[in-house]
Amino acid sequence: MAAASDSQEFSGLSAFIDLLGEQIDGSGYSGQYWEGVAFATPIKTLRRASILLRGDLPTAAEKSAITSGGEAALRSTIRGLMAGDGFHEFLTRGANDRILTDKLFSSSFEASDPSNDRFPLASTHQYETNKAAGNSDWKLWRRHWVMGLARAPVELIAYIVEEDRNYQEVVTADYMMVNYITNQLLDGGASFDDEAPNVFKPGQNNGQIIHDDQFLAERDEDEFGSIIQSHSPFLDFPQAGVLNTLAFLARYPSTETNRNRARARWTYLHFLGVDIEKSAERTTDPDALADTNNPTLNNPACTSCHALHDPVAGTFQNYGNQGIYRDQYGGLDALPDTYKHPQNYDENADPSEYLYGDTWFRDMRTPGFEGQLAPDPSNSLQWLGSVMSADARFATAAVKFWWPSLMGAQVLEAPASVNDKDFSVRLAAFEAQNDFIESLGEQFAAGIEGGAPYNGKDLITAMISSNWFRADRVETPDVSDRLVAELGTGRLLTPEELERKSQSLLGWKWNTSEYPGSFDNEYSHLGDVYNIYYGGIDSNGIVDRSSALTALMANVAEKHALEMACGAVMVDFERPDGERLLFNGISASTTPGLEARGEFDVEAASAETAETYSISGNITAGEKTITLSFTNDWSEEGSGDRNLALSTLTITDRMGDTALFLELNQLNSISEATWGNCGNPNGSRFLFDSNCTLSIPFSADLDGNHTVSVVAYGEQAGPDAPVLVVSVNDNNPDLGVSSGATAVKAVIVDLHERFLGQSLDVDDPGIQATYQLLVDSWQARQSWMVERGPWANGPDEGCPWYAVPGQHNNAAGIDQFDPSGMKSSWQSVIAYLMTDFNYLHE
Amino acid sequence: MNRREFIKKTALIGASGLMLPAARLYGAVDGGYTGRLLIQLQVNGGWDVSSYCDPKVNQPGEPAITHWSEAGDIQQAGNIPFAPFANNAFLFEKYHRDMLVINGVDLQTNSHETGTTHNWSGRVAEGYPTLTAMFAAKNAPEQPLSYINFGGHAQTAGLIRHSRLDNIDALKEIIRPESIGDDTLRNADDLARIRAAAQARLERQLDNVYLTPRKMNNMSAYQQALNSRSSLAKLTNYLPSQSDIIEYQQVNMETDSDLQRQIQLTIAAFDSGLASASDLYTGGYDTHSNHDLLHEGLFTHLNESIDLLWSLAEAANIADRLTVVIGSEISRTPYYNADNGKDHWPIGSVIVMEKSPSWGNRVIGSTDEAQNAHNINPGTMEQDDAGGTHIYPKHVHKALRRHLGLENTFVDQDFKFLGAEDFDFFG
Repeated sequence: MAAASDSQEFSGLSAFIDLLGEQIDGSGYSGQYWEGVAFATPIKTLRRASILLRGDLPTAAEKSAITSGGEAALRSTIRGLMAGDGFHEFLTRGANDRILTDKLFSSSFEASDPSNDRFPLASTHQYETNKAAGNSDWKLWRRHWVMGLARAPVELIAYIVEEDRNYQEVVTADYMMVNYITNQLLDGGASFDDEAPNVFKPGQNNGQIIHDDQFLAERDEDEFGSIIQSHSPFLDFPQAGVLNTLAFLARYPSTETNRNRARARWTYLHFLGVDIEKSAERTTDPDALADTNNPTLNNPACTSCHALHDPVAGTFQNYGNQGIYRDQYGGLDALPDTYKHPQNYDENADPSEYLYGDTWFRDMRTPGFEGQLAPDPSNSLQWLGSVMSADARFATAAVKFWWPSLMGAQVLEAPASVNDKDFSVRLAAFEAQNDFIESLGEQFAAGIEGGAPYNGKDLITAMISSNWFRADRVETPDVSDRLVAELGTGRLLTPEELERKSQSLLGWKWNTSEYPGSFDNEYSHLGDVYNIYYGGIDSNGIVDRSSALTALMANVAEKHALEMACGAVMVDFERPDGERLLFNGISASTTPGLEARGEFDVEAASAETAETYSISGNITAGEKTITLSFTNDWSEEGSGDRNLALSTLTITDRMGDTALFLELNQLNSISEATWGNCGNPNGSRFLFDSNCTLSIPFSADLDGNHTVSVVAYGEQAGPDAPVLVVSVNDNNPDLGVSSGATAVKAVIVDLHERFLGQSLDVDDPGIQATYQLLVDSWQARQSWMVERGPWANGPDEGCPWYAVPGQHNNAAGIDQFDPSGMKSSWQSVIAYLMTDFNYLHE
Repeated sequence: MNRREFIKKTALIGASGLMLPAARLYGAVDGGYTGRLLIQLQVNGGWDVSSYCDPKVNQPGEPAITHWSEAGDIQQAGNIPFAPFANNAFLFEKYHRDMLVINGVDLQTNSHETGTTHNWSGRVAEGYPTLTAMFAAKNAPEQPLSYINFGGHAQTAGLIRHSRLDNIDALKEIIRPESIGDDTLRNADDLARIRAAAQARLERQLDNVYLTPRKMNNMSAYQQALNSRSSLAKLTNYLPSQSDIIEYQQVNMETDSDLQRQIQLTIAAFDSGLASASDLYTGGYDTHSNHDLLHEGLFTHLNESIDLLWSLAEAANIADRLTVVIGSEISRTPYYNADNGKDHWPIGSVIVMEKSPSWGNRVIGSTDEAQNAHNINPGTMEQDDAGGTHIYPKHVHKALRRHLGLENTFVDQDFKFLGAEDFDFFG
């Protein structure tokens, strides 16, 4: 490359040359790059790995293995994460983030069209199904056929890793991955139990043909499709891993002038880790750029790259522009007719060098790879796969291939110019990272830690165990000045990862519905509706994931949290204590101020037979609130109306003295007593006629055991007796010393650990802040609940039941009452945690 | 480095005389952005300028460079020649006074990727930000949609983050995340309480002096996002209704385009004051076969879209504030290949548009009849084979940075074009 002496490029090059051989101050950190950096503990690393690789939190057994085994157990435990649907999704998503073949789901995939008659079984199936339906509209099978072909490359990569196969098969596999319909229409040889389009198994392409003189088809006059009358035998398709999957070839199509160079470029990048575009300074010489005398073969300014590039392009010689094997008529080659017979198109054209039987351009370099020539033109791509996979760079390329999906950042490039800001910082990071990748590549090829060579799971395990994944904090602030941002913990989760994490914690995916015809039969908010808004990709125009939150992304995160929080809390409290996802050890009545509580079935049926219902508990001296609640109102026309009647309230202190006695029909005389519009003093009692809570102030003079007794009876109706709940609540929950506060804080500690990965003491300021949020929310609820009643959601507050599977229109009859106000308050806490930095990042 | 030291560091930059917006990290929104607006229209694939703003006719004895010139001649609208191809006449006749055409821009490559980096950042090597990123970071970093990107080159070099806009119904849902139908998911007090607690917690986390750069950057980004998003709600008032949205349009037999929907959303965001810069993206121009047929549809759509852009901008009363930069990462050969297509060519053009600018109705830079760039004298801006230079993207970017008030500001300081000549395109 020529650079003018006053150009930026020249000054940078000059400075760089001056630096060669010298110790670059502040950049020679090789081997010392991690000095002053602290790394995530094994348990934290396990958590991150589990969320990224499997989409859920570690099990108790997995955590226990780390707790007892520490670092020594980390590798095996991480490896144990690598199974199941979540891991499969990680692999296919990570692979697609690189090769972007999912683009073919939603854009033109011409080569897959059965009407092209390259796959006779598909052509016939199309004709028959269209004829049976009386129309040529797209049928579901057609959609699944496209999916099967489009996903074959990423499914192959996933299969190889999941099944502990040699990773070299990515470019050498002599099989392809098929779903039920591609298996059927390619005569793949696999067997399937159902017609799920996203289930793949290894099979063969036995269903493809060439168009030669044996091919005869007629187009149905009703436009239902082709009627294949004859064809030559099905091809013995020379599968070469990903390289000649229809999707890979179609994603990177060729043209008559490109001549497979794009395919070669991406093959070099993804499977050898070489970016041809950057491997040598691209000429900016205008004469070279304007050279029309076959410059890629003749002009030194061009041959520096094309000498490497073009032979590999030649190995794709058997595949046409859209990826069809030997797509030219006769089936002998994929050479364009404009090359073979130019005078058919321009009578003044020079004769072609083409000779009958050629499969490659004679004005291009011979198909091969870096000095080696492909021995057999009929399967040069299989040969390329074998030689490429044996190249040392194949192993390092695998490290680079998986780097973004694990590390949340691209592999670093060497800084371009010494004048670039942070040049020394980026150079040091590049050198350290490159050393690591090279070393890991060597290990991968030989077998990591005694394992099999080229084992994908071992590779991923090693990357997760590395400093690049685990760097967690700096030991002194100045250390961060010399680190790059593309490392360590705190990386933004992708929309898919966030969706899986929430599913793991709360039990379902955010707003998901069945979507027949889609690849995964699912249409979800984070997977589909808000995917681009939350930084996802479409594999087409948007191919880079967002790495930090924007305002719109923050809104998506908040909507996700707010919509899921209600259902999560309400459903969880329906589960038995001990089987809940979130709130084990407490009930929905456990308030921050709770000091004692009891729940009773009031069997007594009249004033005459009224019984005494008592609770006892240790309480602290101070201002309290006694709450008496009726929680299971019932009525049915013609059958009766269940109500609860309360006669007296008595509180005795630890000395056995009566601290309070009330005739409950006199409550109107107690100004601080409150109750909703659901009961009243009535005759000789206080009568609850619907679900309600009666609150009565009480000032405890003494600490110690107190007994609260209520004389009550029920107006019985229906199958159950009225339920009375009696509780004593401290009026200063902020102090956090009541038994209720203790129980609530214990749950908060657990939620911090599960949602945020933080193991905090109950006295930690972070726990205290969450507790305070709960208390503030709860106290605010108390005041309007007096007017509104004990509903879980306030006026104009919606709870999207429909989002919870099986809960449309509250189908399961979730109890929406919240007499304590705690269900609603916990919703605030869950939303708070789900919008925390540490929830959205790992 | 903790947050306080981060502020101190950027304050030092401010102390050196460079302009530093007061609310770069934590600014509360106190009204919409009302300054200049910038659009980069990225025409992806390599447009054929010889059939557009650098028209070429065939030369005797030379391969045909354009087929339209077999039946027609170069046209001119004001001082701007154009090719009588597609509906170019419509665009140039209507907008020539609002245009500066810069021809003979030497992209120095035939590669899509290298050309994209070079054309949209001004430098061949990666690492420099787009003009739109710099513009947004300088002018409206506190706005929640300050920099919008619909695809294509979006390198921000850490100056700012870009937002993406997609389905409009989904956008309306997330503008007010607390809403659910006519209800809200939490009552207003509770929502405020949750948000205040969350922000307080984030502030405490940012005070940790032992954060890695990744955590510092990502936490700061989150904080800035939270601080700026409150004004997103007003975008609702500016968004077109779903029935008015222009969905994908079939441009030619190979390409469909959502460029006009991108324009609608961009104008709405600009009008709301929540955005300052946008990258529009349209593709399909890599016509290695059937060049004329495909390019005709592409240019027709492009011209209609540019007209739509200005029409909507006028209707929103923001046309006076708008600068539009239109270009492509490469151009196409001055000859056809055997498939009636055109391959890659490194000499292209850039069009800059504003409403009735003093520098409008002009062409600077030129190419010969075979679309080879002439040397241009930076001082006279005339052809000067001896004393001039090719116009490179760095010249265009340098001039645009000055014109847009980005030069010698904090967004520019780390991304200089050392030794690049000054072309006073907008003088």
